[in-house]
Amino acid sequence: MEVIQELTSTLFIIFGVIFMMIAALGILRLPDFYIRMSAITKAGTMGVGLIVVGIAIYFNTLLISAKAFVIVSFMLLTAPVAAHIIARAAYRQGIPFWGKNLIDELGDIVKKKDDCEKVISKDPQSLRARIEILDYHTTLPPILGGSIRKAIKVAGEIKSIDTAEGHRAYALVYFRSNQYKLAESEYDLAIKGSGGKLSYRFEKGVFYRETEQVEKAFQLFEEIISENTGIKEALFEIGKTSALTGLNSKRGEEALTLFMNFHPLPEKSELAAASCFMGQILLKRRDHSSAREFFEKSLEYLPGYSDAAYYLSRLRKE
Amino acid sequence: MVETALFIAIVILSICSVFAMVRFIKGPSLPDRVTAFDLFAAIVISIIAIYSVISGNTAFLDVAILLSLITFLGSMSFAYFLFRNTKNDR
Repeated sequence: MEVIQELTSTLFIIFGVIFMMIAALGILRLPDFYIRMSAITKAGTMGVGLIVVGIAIYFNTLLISAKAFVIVSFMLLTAPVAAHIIARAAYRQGIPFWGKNLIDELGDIVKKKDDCEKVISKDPQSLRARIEILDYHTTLPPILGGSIRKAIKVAGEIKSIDTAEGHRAYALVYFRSNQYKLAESEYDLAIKGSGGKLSYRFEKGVFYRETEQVEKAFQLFEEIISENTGIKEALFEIGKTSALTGLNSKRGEEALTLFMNFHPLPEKSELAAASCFMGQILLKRRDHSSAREFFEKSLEYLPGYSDAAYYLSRLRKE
Repeated sequence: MVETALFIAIVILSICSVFAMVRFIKGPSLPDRVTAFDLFAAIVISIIAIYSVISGNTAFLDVAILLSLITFLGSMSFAYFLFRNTKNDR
């Protein structure tokens, strides 16, 4: 009995030592900091855990087992936390990758922002670059470098170049920081300042839709149609709003039918999206066969359209 | 038989700690050194645990517990030091 106990404990310890050796070789030979870090947090924790379990088996008393349990659980709790925090600090400090990795999404966004800043230093009047920077500051969370304060500063700069565009920028900042009342009044100012520019009005409608003021969104789009400008886009937006919120489905269906038979015919990708929204409206009304027809039509317009494919597969399951 | 196996294990772990130290000296960056030191501490914990078997003195296991706690605090504080040293506007 004792021999078996000693043998198992030695086996555990030897396996633990092998894991430690892998970790040590990894930290010596692997090419960049992040890969080395993954090697030692996994293999190192495993190695210590196996060795301590082996020792608990060797002594085989309650007290030693409890101590071993405490050591192993500390390692299991703390190693991933410490690794995560150090890796994040290293990334923010700009420790380089080894060059053969394919994806660095945050790095790409930061690079785009830096490019925009270069454009601004060359051409101080550039609106497009400033809007990109505003996007960067409003969409990223603060821990990754986003900052509402800086976004407001950029919006002020945009306003000093172009007043209406500036109001729109402010509206975007307020919208993304959940100050909906302020955002609405800024959109109004932008529309008034530009003499009713259509793209601003559409943005305001989308803003209404996203902030659950669906009635106002419908009203705005109908207004645009009644003024005989941008009918095509407004019809599409009405259909989309109705499909996403499930309200006013009759008008939504009508608008989408008008959109799909519009002259001149809209682009294929728009048609695909429209028929997908139509299918969603019909799906909510439990008209499964015609909904399926529209989803299939949408895939015909744009093969591989993921939304339509998703709804179709869901329909097939039912 | 068991004694020799444990002795060999300690020798191998010592070689591993030399590897970790090489990385600690080579760097090239501060996070590299912090992780190398983390691994070094894990190796020392293992050596202490194995030594408690060889010497038969179980009090050494308490040292191992403390060491695992202290290394965690150490790497955490280094991470915060790194955070504070980076510019905020990256």
